[in-house]
Amino acid sequence: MKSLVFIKSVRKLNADPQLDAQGQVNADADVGINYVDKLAIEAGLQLAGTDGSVTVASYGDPQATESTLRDGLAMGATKAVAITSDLLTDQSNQVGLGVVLAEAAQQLGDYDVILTGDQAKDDVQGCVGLRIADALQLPYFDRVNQLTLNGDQLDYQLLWEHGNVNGSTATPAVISVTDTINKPRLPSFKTKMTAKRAAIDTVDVAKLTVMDAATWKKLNGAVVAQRFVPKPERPAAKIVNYDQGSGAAIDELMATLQQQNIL
Amino acid sequence: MTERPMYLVLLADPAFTDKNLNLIHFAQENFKDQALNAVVVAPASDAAVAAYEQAGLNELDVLTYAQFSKVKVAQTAASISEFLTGQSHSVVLFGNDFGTTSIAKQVAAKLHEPLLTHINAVTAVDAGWQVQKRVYGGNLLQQLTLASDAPVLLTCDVAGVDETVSATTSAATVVKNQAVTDVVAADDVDYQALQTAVDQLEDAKVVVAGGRGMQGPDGFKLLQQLADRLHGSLGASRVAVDAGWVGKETMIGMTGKTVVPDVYIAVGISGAFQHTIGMDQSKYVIAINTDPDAAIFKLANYGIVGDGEAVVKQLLSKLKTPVTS
Ligand SMILES: Cc1cc2nc3c(=O)[nH]c(=O)nc-3n(C[C@H](O)[C@H](O)[C@H](O)COP(=O)(O)OP(=O)(O)OC[C@H]3O[C@@H](n4cnc5c(N)ncnc54)[C@H](O)[C@@H]3O)c2cc1C
Ligand SMILES: Nc1ncnc2c1ncn2[C@@H]1O[C@H](COP(=O)(O)O)[C@@H](O)[C@H]1O
Repeated sequence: MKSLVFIKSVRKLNADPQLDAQGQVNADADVGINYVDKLAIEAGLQLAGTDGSVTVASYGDPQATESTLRDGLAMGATKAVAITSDLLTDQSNQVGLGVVLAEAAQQLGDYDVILTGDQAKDDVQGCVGLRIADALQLPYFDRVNQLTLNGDQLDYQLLWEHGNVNGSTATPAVISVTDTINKPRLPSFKTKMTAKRAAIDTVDVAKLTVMDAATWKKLNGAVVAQRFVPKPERPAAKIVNYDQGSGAAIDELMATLQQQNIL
Repeated sequence: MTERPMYLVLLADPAFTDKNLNLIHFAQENFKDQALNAVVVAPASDAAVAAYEQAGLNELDVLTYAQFSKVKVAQTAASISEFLTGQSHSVVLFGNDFGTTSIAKQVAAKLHEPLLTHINAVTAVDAGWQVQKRVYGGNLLQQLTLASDAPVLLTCDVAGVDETVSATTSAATVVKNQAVTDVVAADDVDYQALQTAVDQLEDAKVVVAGGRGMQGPDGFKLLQQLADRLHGSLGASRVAVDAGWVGKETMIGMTGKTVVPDVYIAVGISGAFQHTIGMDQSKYVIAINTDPDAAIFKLANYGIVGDGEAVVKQLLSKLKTPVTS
């Protein structure tokens, strides 16, 4: 089976993101591959069998994209594609991005399944997969927690409220995987070295063939401005040291619970 | 504000916890003075009408077919899409639980309309609405201004809504019943419910949650006792769940549940953002941890630096004596 896996570079969340005067996140941060996207690559590798392949593709800042794609190659992806496009702005990223990725998929062709992560850990949008499926008119499944090849069908299990749903789908299809679907393999020294030297292809999305202009306008024009603000400050906590002998902390804790009306 | 009507999508499946009133309250709090229309999908109309006709809505469209079940995602999405295709609309609101979100995504694809997820607040701006969501692990808020009158589907993070908000417009709801006759074929899927089909964690007023610092299943027995004593629910970090000390239905955070209790007690939890994204909207946070520098103290109101087991044991012994207040 041939998989096309969309992967995103996200900033590592070890430090609080800094904002510029326009309320945009500074781009200078340390970035890495969005964790769940590694699981999407792993799912692709497991489906590949002996005659399959895994292509990783990513859109974004050129430097971050290149390092993320090399991370994907180091895991064992067979081909990497950097996607560029002038069709997107900061605002339209939210909704239009999936359509641009769909167009890139159309140009690339040669896939049986398109895989994405369920959501990116930075913007938790979770909409890229559905947009790709919408633009390419393919079936879409999200929160997929198990995926196996069954003849030319894919059997899936997805997480649902209070349970699981099992089904199967014909291919091609678009599938967004959960962060518990598998354990991603670690790159070996050898695959890392190969990934370092591998060529990275590019696809430029200059115009859309997968969607008419009116629909694109409706999607891409929905958000007209976008900014970030810091979360509201929480007042500093009252912190005490526990001393079992005096029990003072427990008395104070009891008083606190009473103040909160739960005793 | 908008010329085209707004809609709320209410999925009245008796098999799943009904969060629809929370969504109505969310809409009333956030879209003040707007006429709110709702489309209810339900197996039969009586109960649906009874549940929502006094809820302060403007118009209630009840779509019924006997086979309706939320879990038939494609079928459910098709009924909603068909309805919305026939109605000029601006913003359409959905709940934020897993199932409803999956359905909202399929509706967005069928209608080719934008979907924004996890919206937790809305403000009116000149030409329309600005919606807000929590991003970067809850460290930032993202504010998005929507094009005026544009159709946009939103899934709404209703966990923080104040359930006491009452209807501002008490005009009687106009009810339109519509039996769906051309129900699309059901999805050929098989749904397996987990054993713990009903759980109270998401609605609990008090959550007592433990992490690696509870050391093992025995620590969680203590926390369960504390939760029982405080009429609350037990929660856990992923580490505790992965270790098998507690069931996975207790997991709170990015992969688990989002809770917004009045009081959240975190014992032996470090405060990784993947955990705190699921609890940082709690109204009052109490943290107990041996490490004075644990991140969890940054979002606590009250903290005790000490051994979780010892603190909880002593607290339980005090709680045995009935409190008179
Ligand atoms: C994709 C992804 C998704 C994730 N989703 C989730 C999620 O949904 N929910 C979640 O919780 N995690 C999630 N995680 C894991 C998360 O990153 C943390 O690893 C996890 O929350 C840590 O759990 P913990 O606080 O119990 O353990 P630790 O981080 O190990 O912290 C244990 C704490 O206990 C304290 N302690 C130790 N001994 C004692 C004692 N005797 N008494 C009191 N305190 C003590 C320590 O000081 C420490 O602060 C996810 C991770 C990834 C990569
Ligand atoms: N810029 C991007 N390039 C490639 N894939 C992306 C990009 N952004 C998001 N994705 C994919 O879409 C998934 C969901 O992202 P999101 O909808 O932003 O939460 C991610 O897990 C990736 O698989």
